[in-house]
Amino acid sequence: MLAFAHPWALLLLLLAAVPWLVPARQPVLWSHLGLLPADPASDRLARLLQLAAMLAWIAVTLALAGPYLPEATSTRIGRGAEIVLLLDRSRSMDQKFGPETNTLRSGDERIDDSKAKIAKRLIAEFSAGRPNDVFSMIDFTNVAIPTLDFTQKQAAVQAAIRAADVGRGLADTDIGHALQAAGERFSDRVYTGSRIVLLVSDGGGQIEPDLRKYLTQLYKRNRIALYWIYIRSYYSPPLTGPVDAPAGTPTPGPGAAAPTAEELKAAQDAADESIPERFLNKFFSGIGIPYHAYEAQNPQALKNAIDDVGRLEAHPITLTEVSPRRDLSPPLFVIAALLTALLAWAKGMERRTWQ
Amino acid sequence: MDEFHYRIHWRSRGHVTGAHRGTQSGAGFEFTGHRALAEGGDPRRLDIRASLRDPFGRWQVRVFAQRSAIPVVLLADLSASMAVQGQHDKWQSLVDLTRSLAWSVSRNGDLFSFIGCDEQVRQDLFVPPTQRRAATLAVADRLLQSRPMGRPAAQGLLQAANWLPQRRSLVFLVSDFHHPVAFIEQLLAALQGHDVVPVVLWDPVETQVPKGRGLLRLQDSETGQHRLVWLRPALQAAWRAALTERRAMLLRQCERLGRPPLIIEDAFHPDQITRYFHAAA
Repeated sequence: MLAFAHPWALLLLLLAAVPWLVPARQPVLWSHLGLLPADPASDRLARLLQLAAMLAWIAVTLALAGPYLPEATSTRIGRGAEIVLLLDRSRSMDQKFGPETNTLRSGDERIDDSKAKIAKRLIAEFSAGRPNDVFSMIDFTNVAIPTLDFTQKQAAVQAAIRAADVGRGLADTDIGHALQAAGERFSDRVYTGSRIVLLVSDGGGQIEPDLRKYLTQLYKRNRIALYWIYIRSYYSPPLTGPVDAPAGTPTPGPGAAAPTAEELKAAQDAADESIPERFLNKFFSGIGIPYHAYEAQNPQALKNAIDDVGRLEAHPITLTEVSPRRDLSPPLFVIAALLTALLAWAKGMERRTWQ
Repeated sequence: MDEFHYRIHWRSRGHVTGAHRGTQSGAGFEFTGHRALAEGGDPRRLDIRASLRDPFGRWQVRVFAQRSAIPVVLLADLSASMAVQGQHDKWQSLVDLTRSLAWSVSRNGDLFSFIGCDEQVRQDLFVPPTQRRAATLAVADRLLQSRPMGRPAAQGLLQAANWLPQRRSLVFLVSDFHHPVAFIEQLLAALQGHDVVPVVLWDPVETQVPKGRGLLRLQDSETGQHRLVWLRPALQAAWRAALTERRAMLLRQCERLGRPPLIIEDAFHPDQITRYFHAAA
């Protein structure tokens, strides 16, 4: 409801009667007003000016009292999801894709930006296209850096995404604790709709067994869907599929026999254990939460990721909207200024003498 | 000091000799009839022919009407509107007129009386009919010192009739006549027994409509009322018409008393009064 910042100023409202009680100053002394013909137009004008003076005073006083509508929360049912954007800000994200940067193209434009810049732009587009979603944002390197709590305000979301680009990234990447921070974001929240953690990174990392267990519980309990946009540069390993010989083993000579299926399977398992990206992919797939990974090697993969989230968005979600405190004094000041201008004009039109 | 001439066309019934035709018989040049010497006629005026014609053989004496003095009253409106300065100072005009009239009256040998009224009759300024020059000339100076304080109206004028001499007098009613029509009617009715010369002091400011456009905040000098006037051609035309109508109304009212108003719109000059009386003759 309407409230005032300085209610005592309302006492000054009493002075609004002044234009009616106190006659105007500096009139021209006239011997006998009975000589003048009656003129309703003049009388109306006089009353109008008195009214304007009163209203101007009221407007100024009310404006000084600082009326505002206090902060209010309202809930409504929309269609969307709660999304935690988990953005990798490690040093590697500052680098480009590698020699064949043309693998990631936007039209015919060759992309020379760093991975972080591209990721940032993609996330920005992604969030801009979903006004009904509730976003939260966490940057991470060796620690999770929460930058934005859940909000529906696009301006805040975009600003947080822009802020992720400031400066250079740090050296290390601790993806486990980042995921933990993202998952815990939902812990003290009422379940209102689909929950998504959107992980954007260009690499993985090992997660300790204890933390693995905890993450599994956390993501299940909070019913979180995990989307991993894996920005894969030229030298990065794929998430799935057959692998080359494990690193460190000598390249077999031309005469060597082709590896058997068992050998390939063993090599793949070894790779799943040793290559962090593959390890993560396998871990996430195995813990029984909705999970999808996208290898952002080409624009189409990103488009798929975004379309997938778009589908999830169709679920109903309860949104809590906080409308901020609204200051109502500016329009009052404008009204007062206009009325005062009218009065000043009338004063300017006034003549000091009969000449 | 400037003097003006005034005359009346009625006979004074006063005993004091003066400059006006009177009803009293005595030393004069106006033959009115004969009278028996035995009845108290003046033997110096013995008329031989009339005596011989008299069937009873009595001595006949000529009788002449004596020229007599009249009371001249200056009845002044001392309300606040009289002190409003326009192009001229009406109050100064009133003072000049008072001084000039007092002088002229004493030169004429008439009795001068001054009655000033604002809301009451101003007793401090009252001068009963007298021929003493010291008293009559001093009133002008006192008048100069007593500009109205505050916003007195002119209600006292209605009581002034009680302060006038019983017999017919020449009354100079000096006012700006800025009063309601009913008040003017009532005032003139109260003065009916006397020969009233309405002297209207007006200022060009009051009788001309302000030119141009704009807003004018006016305050009434007597009621203190405020009024905002939006000057525009339509109002100025109506204003002009109202002023013309007021002048016509004043003429109508004064005509009923037998004398046209003497309207003084510039600074006072005694010749204006002289011309007025000559035109009336």
